[in-house]
Amino acid sequence: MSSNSTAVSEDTGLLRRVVALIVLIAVADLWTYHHLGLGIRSLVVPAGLAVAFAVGVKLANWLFGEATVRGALQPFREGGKRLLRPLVTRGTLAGLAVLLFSATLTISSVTVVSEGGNDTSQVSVTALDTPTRIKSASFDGGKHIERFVVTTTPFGRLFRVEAAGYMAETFAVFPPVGRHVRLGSDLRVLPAILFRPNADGLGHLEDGAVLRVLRLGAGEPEVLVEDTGHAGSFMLGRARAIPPAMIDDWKNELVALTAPDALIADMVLKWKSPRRLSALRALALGDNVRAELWMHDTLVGRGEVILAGESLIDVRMEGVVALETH
Amino acid sequence: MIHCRRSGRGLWLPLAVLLGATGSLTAQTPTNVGVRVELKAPRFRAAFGPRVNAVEVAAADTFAARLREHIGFVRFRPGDATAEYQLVFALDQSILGSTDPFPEYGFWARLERPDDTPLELYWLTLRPRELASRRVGNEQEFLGEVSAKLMRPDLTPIRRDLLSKVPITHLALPSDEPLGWALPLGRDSLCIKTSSILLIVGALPQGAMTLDREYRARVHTDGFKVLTPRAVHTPFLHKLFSEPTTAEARQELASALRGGGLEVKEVYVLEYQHDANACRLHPLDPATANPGGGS
Repeated sequence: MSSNSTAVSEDTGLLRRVVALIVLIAVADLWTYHHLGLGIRSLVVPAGLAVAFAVGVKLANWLFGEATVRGALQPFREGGKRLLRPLVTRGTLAGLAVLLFSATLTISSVTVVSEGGNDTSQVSVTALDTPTRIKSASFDGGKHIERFVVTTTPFGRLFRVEAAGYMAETFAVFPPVGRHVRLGSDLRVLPAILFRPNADGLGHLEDGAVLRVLRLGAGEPEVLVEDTGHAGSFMLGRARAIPPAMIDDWKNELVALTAPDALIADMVLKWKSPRRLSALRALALGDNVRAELWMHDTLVGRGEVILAGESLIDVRMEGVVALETH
Repeated sequence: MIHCRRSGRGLWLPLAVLLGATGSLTAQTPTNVGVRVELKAPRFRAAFGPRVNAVEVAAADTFAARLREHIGFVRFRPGDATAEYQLVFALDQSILGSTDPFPEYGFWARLERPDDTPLELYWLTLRPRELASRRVGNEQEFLGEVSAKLMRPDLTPIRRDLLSKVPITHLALPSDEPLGWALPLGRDSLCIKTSSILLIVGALPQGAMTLDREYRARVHTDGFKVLTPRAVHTPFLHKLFSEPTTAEARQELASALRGGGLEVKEVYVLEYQHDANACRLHPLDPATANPGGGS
């Protein structure tokens, strides 16, 4: 009687520990899936298997008698007990629980979701307290989600999320849920800038001039992007359709400058087909952006703008009298 | 500077002495004119960057070659900085200093003269305003474009307004029989037709003063000769001879010769008729005609 009650008590304890282990595994699975995208996609399958097993045992008991079924399952039960008893100890469970708890309190993620379509934006995440350690990725290959595993604290940690074509934002990331960032809503779309070289500039570009886009600040200008091999306009930021009213403005502008008809047609055609540029660094409203045209180390054209709230900013690039060439 | 006096009685002896002293008359050749090209427009300078000087030199060869085909009364020497006269073709806006965003680009021709102000005119359009956005192209393309523009050049402004200010010689022999001026240059070396008009600038003593006189003369023949040639005539024999263009000019010259002391200072070509055949029969000295070796 005493040995039987001891065995039942041991079985009950083992069962509780196994249940606790299953709960830990389920929590760990949910955590890794949320932050890493790895793990069992849905717990319905294992839960369904468990339910099906329980229902099957009950059915077998009704059909063949409980004793028969118990006897048939006895070897599996004994084997399972022998396997689990040394593994599923209170210490193991406590260790796993502490490990999982620590991980959920210090490791988290920033998940960036693209707007879909053919978005190939470059995305980067930087902790503000370690600005030199930049994690970056892109939405190449049809990806729409990019996860960045980050370390944080229970009180949160600040991260700056930058994406080409969007305004950079700073978010506090708390464990265990982390942060989802949606491009286009959490990160607002930046206005696109259309740089239009003047007549000389278009000729220079056809001759191989290099367009260099810079962000001006207190220190050295920061090169955002360089391009060459295109004789036309350039659109920095997300692709946007050029409104017909803008094209009419261009024509009026050229007419006012007494441009010949053939030249107007040529320039408008070239301006209407911009090459899209993606900045290597994210921009923000109020940034001072300058485009320069360089031909053989000589500055031959320039246009400058401060990012404002318009969806498409039209910047006419002017020629530069290169005194050093004389 | 060598000056000849009239071939009349008793006046040629001092000249003969002078000629003997110099000994250079037999080597008389037309005036050398250095040819230079300057790409002044930043649009074009920037396109060639560090190669701009090489492009200018190559373009000067092209200009000189084309000029030689149509003008023979001076010798065009590309890149010759030692020549007293320099013909400079500067590629710049047609309206200098204009703020037109679509300027026309073309060649200004400038004659740089010793001890005198340069003469300049806008001569040849290279890029009209319609082509303001067109590429310059690489060196070969640019030089090809320049060469194509020079295929049928209107050289009248260059001849009339610039090169007519370049003396082809400082030496001429006033002659009373036949009446006119003999030059130490032949038609073959000047590639000049007989209908061309020369301007002969001389100095005529009038008492204690010397008056500058200008005479227009038409190229008459390529065979100056006198019945009894003397040493003074030698450099001019069988060379170019020109006659006064009008009866009044003939009388004026005859009068000046009678008075004596007419001194020729410079001879210019006012109206030039090119004679390609004359040059073809007597090719120019290659070393003089094409010292740069360009085309």
